[in-house]
Amino acid sequence: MADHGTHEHHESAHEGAHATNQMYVRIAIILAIITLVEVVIYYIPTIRSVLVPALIVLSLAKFLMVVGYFMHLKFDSRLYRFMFASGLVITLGVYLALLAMQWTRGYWFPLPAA
Amino acid sequence: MASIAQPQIQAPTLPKPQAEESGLWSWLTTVDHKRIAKMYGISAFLFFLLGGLEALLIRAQLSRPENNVVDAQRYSELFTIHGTTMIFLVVMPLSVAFFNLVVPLQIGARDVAFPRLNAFSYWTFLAGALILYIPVLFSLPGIFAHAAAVAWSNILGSPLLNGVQPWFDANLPFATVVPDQGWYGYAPLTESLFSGREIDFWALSLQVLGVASMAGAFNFIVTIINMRAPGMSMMRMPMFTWSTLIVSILIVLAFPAITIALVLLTFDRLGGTMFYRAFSLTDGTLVTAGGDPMLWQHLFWIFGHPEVYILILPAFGLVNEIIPVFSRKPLFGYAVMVYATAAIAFLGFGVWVHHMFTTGIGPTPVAAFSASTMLIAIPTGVKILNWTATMWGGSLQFTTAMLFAVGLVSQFVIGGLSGVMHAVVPVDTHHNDSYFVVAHFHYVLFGGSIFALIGGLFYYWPKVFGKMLDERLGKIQFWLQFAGFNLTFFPMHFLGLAGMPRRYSTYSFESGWWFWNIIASIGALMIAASVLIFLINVTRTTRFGRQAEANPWDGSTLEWAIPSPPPVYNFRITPLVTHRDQLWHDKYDRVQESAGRPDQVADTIVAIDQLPERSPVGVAVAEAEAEEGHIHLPNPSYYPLLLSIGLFLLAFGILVNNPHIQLGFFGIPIISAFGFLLLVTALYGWSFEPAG
Amino acid sequence: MAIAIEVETARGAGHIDHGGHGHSEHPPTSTGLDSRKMLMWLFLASDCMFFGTLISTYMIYRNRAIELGTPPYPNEIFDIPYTSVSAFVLLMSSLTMVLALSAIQRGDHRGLRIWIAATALLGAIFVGGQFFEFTEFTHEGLGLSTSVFGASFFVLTGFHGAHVTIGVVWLLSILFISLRGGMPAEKAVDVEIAGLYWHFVDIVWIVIFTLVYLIPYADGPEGVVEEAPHAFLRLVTVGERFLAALPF
Ligand code: HEM
Ligand SMILES: [Cu+2]
Repeated sequence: MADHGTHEHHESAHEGAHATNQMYVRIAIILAIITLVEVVIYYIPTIRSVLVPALIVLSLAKFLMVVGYFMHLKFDSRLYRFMFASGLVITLGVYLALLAMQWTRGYWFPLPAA
Repeated sequence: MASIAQPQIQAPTLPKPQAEESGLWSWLTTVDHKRIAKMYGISAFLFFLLGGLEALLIRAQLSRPENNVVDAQRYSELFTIHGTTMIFLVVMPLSVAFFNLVVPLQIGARDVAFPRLNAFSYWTFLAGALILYIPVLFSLPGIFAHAAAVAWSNILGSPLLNGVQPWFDANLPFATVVPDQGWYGYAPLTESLFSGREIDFWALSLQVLGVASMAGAFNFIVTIINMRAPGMSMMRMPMFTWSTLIVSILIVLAFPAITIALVLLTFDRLGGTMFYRAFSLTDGTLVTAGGDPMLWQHLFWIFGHPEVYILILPAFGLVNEIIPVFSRKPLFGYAVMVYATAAIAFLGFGVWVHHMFTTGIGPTPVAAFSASTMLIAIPTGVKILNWTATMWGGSLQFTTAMLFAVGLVSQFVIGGLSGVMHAVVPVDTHHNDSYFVVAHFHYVLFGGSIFALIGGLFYYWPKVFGKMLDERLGKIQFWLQFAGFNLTFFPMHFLGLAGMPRRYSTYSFESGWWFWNIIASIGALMIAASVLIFLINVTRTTRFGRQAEANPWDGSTLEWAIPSPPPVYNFRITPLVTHRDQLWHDKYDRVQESAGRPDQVADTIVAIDQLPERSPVGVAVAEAEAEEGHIHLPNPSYYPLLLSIGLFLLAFGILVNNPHIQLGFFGIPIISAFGFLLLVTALYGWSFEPAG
Repeated sequence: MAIAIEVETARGAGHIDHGGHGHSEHPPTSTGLDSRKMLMWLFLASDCMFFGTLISTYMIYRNRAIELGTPPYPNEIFDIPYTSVSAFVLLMSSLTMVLALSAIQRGDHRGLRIWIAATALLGAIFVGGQFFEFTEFTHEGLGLSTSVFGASFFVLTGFHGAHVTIGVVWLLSILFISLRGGMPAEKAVDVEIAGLYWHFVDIVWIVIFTLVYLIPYADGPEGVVEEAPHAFLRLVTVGERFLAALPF
């Protein structure tokens, strides 16, 4: 938590200085291109083996760009960043652990399927 | 560094704000945090009495072997409702009552950041509680009728009253839809194959209660971060405010897990999905459905373990206020306490599988979560150490509040230790689902949370109601409760180790468990007596209680700077905070510090109102308000209430749905449709409501 | 210590939210940050957990239809070109949203209205697309109770669709208020808060698109995946269908 008291967020929240409409359009174009790349690599059989990591990296890039630029988190107060990041980190930590447990446990179905 | 306000600024003479409104309508539309605190507190206390009644019935049933005070079905209903009540309708709302009362005062604010959201939180809490309790209240006559019938036929040998309970069950609406699956509602017990409508009541009630908790929690986080008086940096905040902040963060991150878990459950029950169903019955044969009951356990405990910290950290916060005041010493290791609380909250998300050690989840998860569970005991131990060190060498005053706070410290140590014992997996395999676990969580929840909350009632009663609770009755209550509590719950350790399982409605004489069980039931009666003493104390105090001064305990935080009970606007002038224990600093330190100095500062900080501090900003705001002719307070609003009613009807419509009360198309329940309309209307009314 | 009182932190006691649209003068808060915007960020942090729970449920069950042999299977039923267009539409709505915000911050009311309307329209197209997708799937035999794969798919994407729908209603309300002249530049933060919500819904779809649609399923989609040229041909057709559906 921000323990330095109340005076550290002076220069918060004036994103106008950092981001312009041209930049937004440029980011949107990059986002569109990444999406296109994602769909294209989905259809290329030869790179199947790296498809999953590639997709994860690409969508992570999209995620960070939208959060950083469109939601201004890159320029906004550290406090917002801390808040959103804590939600994200806890979610990731908890659910990656859950998935690891569920996926390795397997599933037992001795009966015919419904 | 900005300049200090000039000494010659005069305290503006504020016009007196209009007298506080009274009457039912003013309560229904109130957005005042102090009134909301009272409503939360009173509701929680009523549920405490109801939950206690259920506990007494449980103890009556277990007081001797093969007893028949209640039958097995009723017994299951009783422990389910007792657990759900105590956790969601007592400890949580009572904690929230303290958040509401104390936090704005401690940070020097006029109200919370979103007063209407706060009112919404309370009304929604009430809506959720009603959904759970409508069936319970209708089933109580049947329970008592059964007990009476059994007593009658045992004593007089005549079956005269035997037909009464079935009659009640058949004729009272909702009497047979009391949840009976346990407070953690494990699948597949909650699946439609094994249960009826009662699970829907339970599930929807918890969802509504979740909305209430989250609304409150969001509000408190913003309030604490954004509404602090000038000069109150995070590390000058009182520990109770810190606890509130951290608990609120836990609430907003933990409740989504159970909300979704319950949504999935509701889909399983009403929508034909199979999220938690491994097998289903098709044409008389079992087939694999594909779902997994383990998913429920995971999602429930991903919420459930953070939830136990939601239950205990407010209590710790109260103890952090009480112990320093009655030791006449600042809290030992403030910063460490802050970090320990944060660490507990963070680690609290990484231990949930310790509730699932015996599910066959595999050696790796078991080892990892056993280690993390042991780890979390460290910051908890740090707190115990800090409290002990605070008292060490202090001039202790054993008021009732202090007794309860020290009671928490001692009893929580026992509960914490049995918790660490559960962390050792081979041992837990023996403890699991036995009375040993029941002993553990009562030591942390009753010996911990409830003790501190009652201590908090004694500590803050003068502030809220302006009257001092009777100390002599209070001490009698404490010792009776302390003895009764240990008599009830300590033997449960023995019972658990001797193999007595939890949640069985009875046991045989040959098991040998009868001795400690009767002792426990006697202890329960003592606890009941202590609660009775508290009620007497409250009644007497209301009638004849001694008037309380602003700061009867010589506390050090801002809430003690204003009159008791506080005026509607709390602070006439927003205080300027320069120290952690501000009031002690003003009273004791400054005298020494300013001795012999040409001290403008001492002049600057002259007493204006009750408060010996003022801030440039506070004075400026006060002057503006003096010009306007009143202190600016948020307007009352009925939209929060309407919104909650809408939510209630939405949920209730689903519960009482039948083909006669559906809309023609899609089979939408009429009541729900109406609730939804009300909800949308209230939402729009709310957002367009003119400024306060 | 008493001499050196730190008054530099004096930023007022914070303001109380007096209701949506009455007061425009906001007394400073302890952090200087807007309370309602902070509330939205906290809500989004919490919403991560909501979606995290649903997404994990899906990830646990995503292969189960295939494992149990209960069709329809995900790799047959998903129409990647179609969903790519939806994903693209939602992505572009984030652009229009941010342009709306930047318009109102400059005091450009016409810009605000145009871009908000565009965002709401794109959002509505997305929801409509999802509605069609759901009906398609139902026709192909995938229902809530067909398999846990189907159930977790519908509940996850339905929950997301509900978010988008609420967002569209919210945007339309802003448009309405602005048309009535109630959205001056000082209230840009109202638009910003709606925008945060909107972008969040977009990033959730970024995650869902990858995890639900693109990442291959248990037996690998090799056998089922269309030939690339064919898929692109269909992508064009989907685009044409969208254009044909537009009212102008
Ligand atoms: C030192 C810290 C603690 C540790 C290491 C700990 C550990 C555990 C473990 C391992 C269990 C599972 C036992 C079993 O079912 O076999 C458990 C159960 C439980 N604990 Fe704790 N605990 C701690 C503190 C708390 C606190 C502070 C609370 C609440 C205020 C709490 C409430 C509960 C409850 C309600 C259960 C039983 C849940 C049920 O099965 O119904 N614990 N604890
Ligand atoms: Cu636990």
